[in-house]
Amino acid sequence: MTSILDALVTGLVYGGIYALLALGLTLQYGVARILNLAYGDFLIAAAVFATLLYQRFQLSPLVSLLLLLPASFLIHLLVYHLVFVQLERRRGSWRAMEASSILLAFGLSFVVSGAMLAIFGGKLFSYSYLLVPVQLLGSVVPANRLLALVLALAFGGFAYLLLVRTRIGTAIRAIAVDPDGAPLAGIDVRRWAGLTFAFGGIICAASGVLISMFQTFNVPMGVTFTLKALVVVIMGGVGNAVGALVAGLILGVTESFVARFISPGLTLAAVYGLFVLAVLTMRTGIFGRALR
Amino acid sequence: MLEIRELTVYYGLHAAIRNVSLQVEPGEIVVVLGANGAGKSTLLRATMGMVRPASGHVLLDGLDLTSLVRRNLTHQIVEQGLILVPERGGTFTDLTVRENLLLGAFPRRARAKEKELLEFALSLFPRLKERWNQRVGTMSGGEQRMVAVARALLSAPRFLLLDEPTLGLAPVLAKQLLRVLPQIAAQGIGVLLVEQNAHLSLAVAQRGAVLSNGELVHASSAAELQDDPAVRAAYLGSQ
Amino acid sequence: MGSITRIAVLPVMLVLAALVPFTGNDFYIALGISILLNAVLATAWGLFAGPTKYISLATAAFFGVGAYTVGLFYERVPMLALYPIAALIGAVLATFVGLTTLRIQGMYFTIFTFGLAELIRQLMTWYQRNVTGSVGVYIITDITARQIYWSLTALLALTLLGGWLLARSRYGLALLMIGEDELAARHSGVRTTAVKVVVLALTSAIMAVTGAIVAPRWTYLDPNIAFNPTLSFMPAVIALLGGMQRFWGPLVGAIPLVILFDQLNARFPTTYTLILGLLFMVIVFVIPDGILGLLPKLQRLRGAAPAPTAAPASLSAPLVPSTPTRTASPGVDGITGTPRASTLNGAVLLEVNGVRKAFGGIVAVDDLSFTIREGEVFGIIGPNGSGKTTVLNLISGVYEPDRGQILFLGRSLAHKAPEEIARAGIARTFQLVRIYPALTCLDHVVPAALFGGHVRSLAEAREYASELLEELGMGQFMHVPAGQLNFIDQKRLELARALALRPKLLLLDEWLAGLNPSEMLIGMELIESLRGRGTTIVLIEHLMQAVRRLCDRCIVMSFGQKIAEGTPEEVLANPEVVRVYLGEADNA
Repeated sequence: MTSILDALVTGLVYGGIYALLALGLTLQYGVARILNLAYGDFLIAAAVFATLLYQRFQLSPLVSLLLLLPASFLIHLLVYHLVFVQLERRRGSWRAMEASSILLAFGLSFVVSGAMLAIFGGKLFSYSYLLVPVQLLGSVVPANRLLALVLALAFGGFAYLLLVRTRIGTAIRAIAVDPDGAPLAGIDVRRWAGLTFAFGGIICAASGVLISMFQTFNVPMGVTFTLKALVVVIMGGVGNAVGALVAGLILGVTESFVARFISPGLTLAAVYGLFVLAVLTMRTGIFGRALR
Repeated sequence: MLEIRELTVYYGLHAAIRNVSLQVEPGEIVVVLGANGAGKSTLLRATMGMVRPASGHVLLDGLDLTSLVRRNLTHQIVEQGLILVPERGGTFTDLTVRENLLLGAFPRRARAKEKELLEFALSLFPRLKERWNQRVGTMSGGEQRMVAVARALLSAPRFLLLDEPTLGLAPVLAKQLLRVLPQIAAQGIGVLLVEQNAHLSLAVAQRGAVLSNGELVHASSAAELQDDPAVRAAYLGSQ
Repeated sequence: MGSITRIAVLPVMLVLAALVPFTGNDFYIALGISILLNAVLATAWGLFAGPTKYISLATAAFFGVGAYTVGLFYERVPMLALYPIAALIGAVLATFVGLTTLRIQGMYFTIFTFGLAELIRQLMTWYQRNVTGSVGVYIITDITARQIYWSLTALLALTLLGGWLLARSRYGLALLMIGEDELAARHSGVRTTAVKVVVLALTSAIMAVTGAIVAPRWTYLDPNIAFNPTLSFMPAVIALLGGMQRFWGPLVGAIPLVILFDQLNARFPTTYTLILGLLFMVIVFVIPDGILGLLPKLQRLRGAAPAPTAAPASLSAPLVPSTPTRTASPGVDGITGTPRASTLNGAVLLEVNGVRKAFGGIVAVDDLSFTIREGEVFGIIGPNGSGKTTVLNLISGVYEPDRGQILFLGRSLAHKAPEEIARAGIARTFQLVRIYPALTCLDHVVPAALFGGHVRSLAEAREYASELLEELGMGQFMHVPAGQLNFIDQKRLELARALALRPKLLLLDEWLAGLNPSEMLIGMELIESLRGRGTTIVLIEHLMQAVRRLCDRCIVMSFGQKIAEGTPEEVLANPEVVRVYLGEADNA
């Protein structure tokens, strides 16, 4: 019984983080129309830097966030304008470049992870931050996980409110649902898509820092984070923040139960199982809308 | 004054409109009639920079917008004070009425007057107040048109371009919608209306023109066009 | 012909390549294996991704599965049997992936393949840890590097031959159509999902066999070697660099890239991945219009030669030449709207019964019923937005009715996909022409003839398609890319493609729209000649002169409902119809 509870609590902690990291990806994909296959690698980069800042300068990850989030924003903005917009210029239209942009993102993921491999190699990273046990729902959880969960929900909730409550957030959702119609509302799609891509980069970095607080990781793990984020996005519906939260929690809990009760080696299989289910039951198009 | 000068648009090898020239004064309603495929939508879309014209100019109060048009900078054209309600479109169907109208005032120049504009739009379409938090996609066709026109008005336009706003509306609803146009024009907004509902639209317009096979063939006062056999021929073919 | 000599070059190259091991230089053999391995993987990858534009990132998964087949079973099963087993496992895995993701948009396929190698790597690790007890296997065989080299050469030859045959088969054409416009392909009768799954399975089997052949090279195999992500990456880079569609592209790409990467790996082992990624990005950028867009561009360039002579010929060409039944067609000169008695007595071909279709809050078609008899030209008219095209989409299977049913030859079309309906004998054209600019006219028409199911061989389909194009006055455009045709010829091409299905019923969606007055006359004569051949036609049209001249009967739609039915003269005189077209006079 306590093991079930443990698994559930662990699952919810991971699920909350998955929801956050999927939110960043869904914004990048849904609004900027870029399937960012380098997402997990950028996430790992943020996690690595948080670890280094902690180990070398005893900088709390909360302080690192203040440094890494703006940095990630700038990097993603540059990547969007210097890489993807340029590609669009060369290809003439988003449609013509869709396949190329996937390949470009695939290449980018090799560049980001390759750069880190060159510097750090494949070694494992971890640091112990706030490693104190906390009682929660009759289960014992390390405080760092709880803090990560709370921050993830806070970030996600904040991003969600921005999207739903502000004019600019509404404009961003409008670009997601109808990119062709948005200019007629005076929305500069290119500009806002770029800023949204960069905003997704902020969420990506935040997820990375939060994950570094409680999980051991190495550079090659970027792929699995990209994949988990993609699966959550697809399960929740592209551009759907509430869907991402629910799907993230489902994924986290499923993983945690599979790891606890079946085998830790089969968690990715569980992720794929959910992916297949989501795809097979899907009736709407990629942007969550029915066929016209 | 909105001035369209000798606009020509090609789709591949096929000329959708050829050398179309048209002027709309502030506060005036001009209707362009024509059968489907005559190039009516193309004319409006080219004016907004949504399709790239092969040649021609668009001027707003003497200011040449052509370079914006040619670079497909529609959002900047909106910022200049032109707005289009496209055929069947002009709303974000996944967003609510409130959110659509919020986005109507997205252009910077519209923000200052947002409150008055909203009041005006809601006075034209009081029904929208009842539907305030409803998703537009779940509303009836007539209500969706109201949202689209209201959203356009919130951008504080100097000229309003409407692409077949009565399309798919029952006659009584079409009539209601078009009767709003004189009230809009009374605010000093010029209206360029593309329609196939000839009788109804000519009844609210001052001037009209017939577009046939991409060319403007007939321009005259709305009253004269009402009884003109050319209008009938444009739709039903000559007997 | 150029292409023949180019193809002749390949066997020569392969034979020369096969001689390399006789140099006895182990370095060359090792490098050769690396080149051949990547060339095979890239060719197989390109065979699917090139025409369809579906990007697979899972080459390593299929390769690794093949390698592990050998690793796990080589002690118990003879090597020669392991190759087909590896192929089978690869094909089954690909079929599973394909059936899951290929019926929906390409993006899901890409995402699914993105993590597939990692998934199988973890599964294999788990399996070995829990079942065999140790991660990794030793592969001790007496297979030499030379044998591996020659096996790969043979596999490359087979793959190239297979690719060459595929490109010339109905499936090759079908794949090209899928990549250009999947919906139009389905309306030509192509079972798109099945074609994609089959080709994906075949190419994945080749990747698995490659893994099986190469496995003995590593005396020790663990999941990190077999499912190395670089293996997914390299084929894409190579295929992109060489030009995916070009037959020899992967070969051309493989040689320099593998040598380059070999050097990089030796000199900069730590920054290798980084350089690989950068190089890949540069290739995506720099190859002019590179990569996926390369093929159509090339074909357009290649086709540019005959174009100048062909293009202006259009209007002066025999427009409806020697259509044998033309004289039998009544009313060629006539605006006689009187229905021919014979058409009214024809057997019922299509029956639409109380059909309704709504999109969100908007009802596009409401309680619509009508019957079409064999041999007639049936018009559907009505103001813009009255639901006409929706009716066409309901008949041709793009949409499923919410209510009511559609019977074709007495059988319900419910739950039938567009390709099945096309095969059953209903062909259509599109309101906006949907042609494939890069493909020649013949390549448009041949697949429809093939997949329509009434010809057996490709040769027969070619013959039939040529005849059809000839008959429509397009004989001189047979080998011209469709993108170079002028507007009416593109429209004629669409018509030819529809007719190649030998339809019992032909649906024309504003086929005359956009034509200038003289082209219009040509177009109308063409439709009349079709009527003369006895084809039953449904015509959606806005041009009333065409409706008057061509239609035996028509219905008028307004707000998704039928408001009038009868001969064109009758319905166009109907005051209700005049009202819906011109709007109500504002005197109410």
